[in-house]
Amino acid sequence: MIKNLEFFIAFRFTKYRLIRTLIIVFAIAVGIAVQFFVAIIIDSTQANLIKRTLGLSPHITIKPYDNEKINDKIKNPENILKNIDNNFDVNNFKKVIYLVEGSVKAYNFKNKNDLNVRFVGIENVIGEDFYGISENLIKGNDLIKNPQEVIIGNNIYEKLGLDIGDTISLKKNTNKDEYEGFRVIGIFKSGNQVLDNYVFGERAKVQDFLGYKRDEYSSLYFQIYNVFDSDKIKKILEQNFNFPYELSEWKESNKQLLNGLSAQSQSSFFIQFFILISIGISILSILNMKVVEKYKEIGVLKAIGMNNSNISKIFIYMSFIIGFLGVFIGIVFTFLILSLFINLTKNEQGVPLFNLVIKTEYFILSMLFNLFVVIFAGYISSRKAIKYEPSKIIIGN
Amino acid sequence: MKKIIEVKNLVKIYHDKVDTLALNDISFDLEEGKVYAIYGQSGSGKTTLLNILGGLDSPTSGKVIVDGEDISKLNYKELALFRNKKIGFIFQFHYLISEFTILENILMPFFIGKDKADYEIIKNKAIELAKITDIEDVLYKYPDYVAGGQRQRAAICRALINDPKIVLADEPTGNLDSKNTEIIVNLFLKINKLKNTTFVIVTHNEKISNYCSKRIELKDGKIEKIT
Repeated sequence: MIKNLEFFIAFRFTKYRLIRTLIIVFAIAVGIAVQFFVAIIIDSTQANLIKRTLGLSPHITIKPYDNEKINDKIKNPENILKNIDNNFDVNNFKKVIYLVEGSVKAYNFKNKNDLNVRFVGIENVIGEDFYGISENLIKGNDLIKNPQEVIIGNNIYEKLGLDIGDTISLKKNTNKDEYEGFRVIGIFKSGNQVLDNYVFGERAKVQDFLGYKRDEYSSLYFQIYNVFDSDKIKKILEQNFNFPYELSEWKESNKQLLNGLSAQSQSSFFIQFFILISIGISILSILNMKVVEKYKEIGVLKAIGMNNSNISKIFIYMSFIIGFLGVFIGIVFTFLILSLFINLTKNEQGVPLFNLVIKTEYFILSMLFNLFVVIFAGYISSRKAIKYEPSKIIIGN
Repeated sequence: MKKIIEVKNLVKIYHDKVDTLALNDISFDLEEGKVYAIYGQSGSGKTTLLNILGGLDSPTSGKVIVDGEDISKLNYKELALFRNKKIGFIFQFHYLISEFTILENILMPFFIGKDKADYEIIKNKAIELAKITDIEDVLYKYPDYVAGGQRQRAAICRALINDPKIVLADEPTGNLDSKNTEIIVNLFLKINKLKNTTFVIVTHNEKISNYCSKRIELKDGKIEKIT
C-alpha cells in the first residue's frame, strides 16, 4: 500500500531518464561543494588570521595616556576591575592580565652579543597563559619557580645564542652599568616578531627590576570571546569609567586588517549567493523539463481525480529529492575536496598550513537555505504543471 | 429507470480569437445502466460534451446533473473528487503512466481517492478486472512493454477500479485494429451487464454506435436525433 502517493509518483518521475537527473544532481553537488569549500576556506583563513594577529594580543587595553607624567603607571588595578564589573561582568572576559613591562638591553656575556628586549611580568586574573607560552614552547619548561628564572622568545634565543640553563643579563635602567643575570628555563616561538623578543620573568621580580611598586602595572589586557565585539564592549566599559587611563580596543589600531576581513566576508557571501542562484536555476530548469515531458501524465492524473495541491506536491517532492541528493553528495564532495586541499598544503614536516574551521550552525542554516531554494524552484515548476487542463490534452489527442 | 445524467439547455462557447459555439442549447437525459453512443463527425461537439459530462470542462450556460448532483456548482477540489469517485475515463490513447506497472496504473484512481478500503481487497479487485479484460499476465509489466490492445484494456480496468457509476469513453477504439475494437466493445457490454455501469461512448464509428442501447447524434453542436 502506498502511504504517500505524491512522494511515490515524484520518486518514479525522478527516476525517469535517470542519467539526466543524475547529471543535474552532480551539478548541484559540485555547486554545493564549491559553496561550502569557499565558505570553509574563507572562514578558516579568517580564523587563522585572527588567531595569529589577535590570539596572543589584547583585544581591549587599559594603559596610561602617552604623554602622562603623573599617572604613567596603572595603580591598584583591582579598583578598575571592580568599576568595570558594575557595567560588565568581568567573568565574561576570556582572559584578563595585569602586565608590567619595559624595554631593556639584554646581553650574553659569553659571546658578547646584545639585543633590545622587553622584560615582561604577568599577573593572571582571569584565564591562563595569555601569550600561549605553553603552546609555543620549543625547549625547556614554562614554570618559573624562582625570581631569577626567565623564559625567552625565539628571537632572543637565536640572536643572543642562549640555550636552556644559560644566563641572560639584563641591564637596569639606571645611569650606572648595573646588570642582573637570569637563568633561561624555557624558550618559546610564537611566530610573532614582537612576542618572540619578550623575556618573561616572575611578576614581582619584573616590578622590582623596572621600578614598579607591588600594586603598579604598565597595562591591563583583556581578551574577549568574540573579537568583533571589542568596540561594543569598550563602549560598555566606558560608562562610569572614571580613571585617568586610556581605554582602547584592537579595531582602532587595525583598520586595515578589519577592512581586509570585511572584504573577504563580503566576497565570500557574494560567491555563495551566486552559486545558490545557479543551483536554484538548475533545479528549475530540470523540473520545467520534467513538467513539459509529463504534461500528458499530469493531465490524466487530474482527470482521474488529482487536484492542484496533489500535483504541486509531486513537483515539490521531486525538487526535494533532487535537492536533497545534491546537498548530500555535495557535502561528501566538500570533505573530499577539503582533505585533498589539506594534503596539498602541508608543510615539509607534514603539518597542515592552517587549521580548518567548520561552523556547524552555518552549515545547518546553509543546508536548510539550499533546500528552501530547491523547494521554491519546485514550487515555481509546479505552478506551470497545475495550469495543464486535462480537457485540453484529451481534445488535443 | 433512474436518470443518471440530466443535461439541460447546455451551451458551450470557446472564446478564442473568434468565438466558437461548440454546443448549442442541448438537453437530454441518460438512464442508469445503459450503454450510450454519442455519435457525430469530427467537430460536431461530441468530445466537448463528454468533457463537460465528466467535469473536465465547464459549460458556458445550462445545467449538468450527474447522479442527482449539479456539477456546475462544484468547485475545483469537489470536481476532482467527483471525477475520482463517480466517473471512469477511457481515452482514445491509453495514457498509462510509463513509470508504473500495469497493476499500479490500474490502482492509481484508488490511491488518489485515499479510500480506507483494504488494499488487498482492492488489489484482488484489480486482478479480477485484469482477468475479465484478459491482461492478467502483464500486470507486473511496465506499459512500454505490453501490446497496444493490452494497454487500452489496462486503461479500462483503471476506469473501473473505483466502481464508478458512469464510464465516459472518448473514441476508445480509435487507435485499435478491428479485432481489438470488437474485444473492447464486447468488454464494455460485459461490464455493463455485470456491474450495471452506465457507458457513454463518443465515437464517429457507426458500427460501434450500433452496439449501444441508444445513440445521440450530434451535428454542429446540436442534437440531430436520438435513436
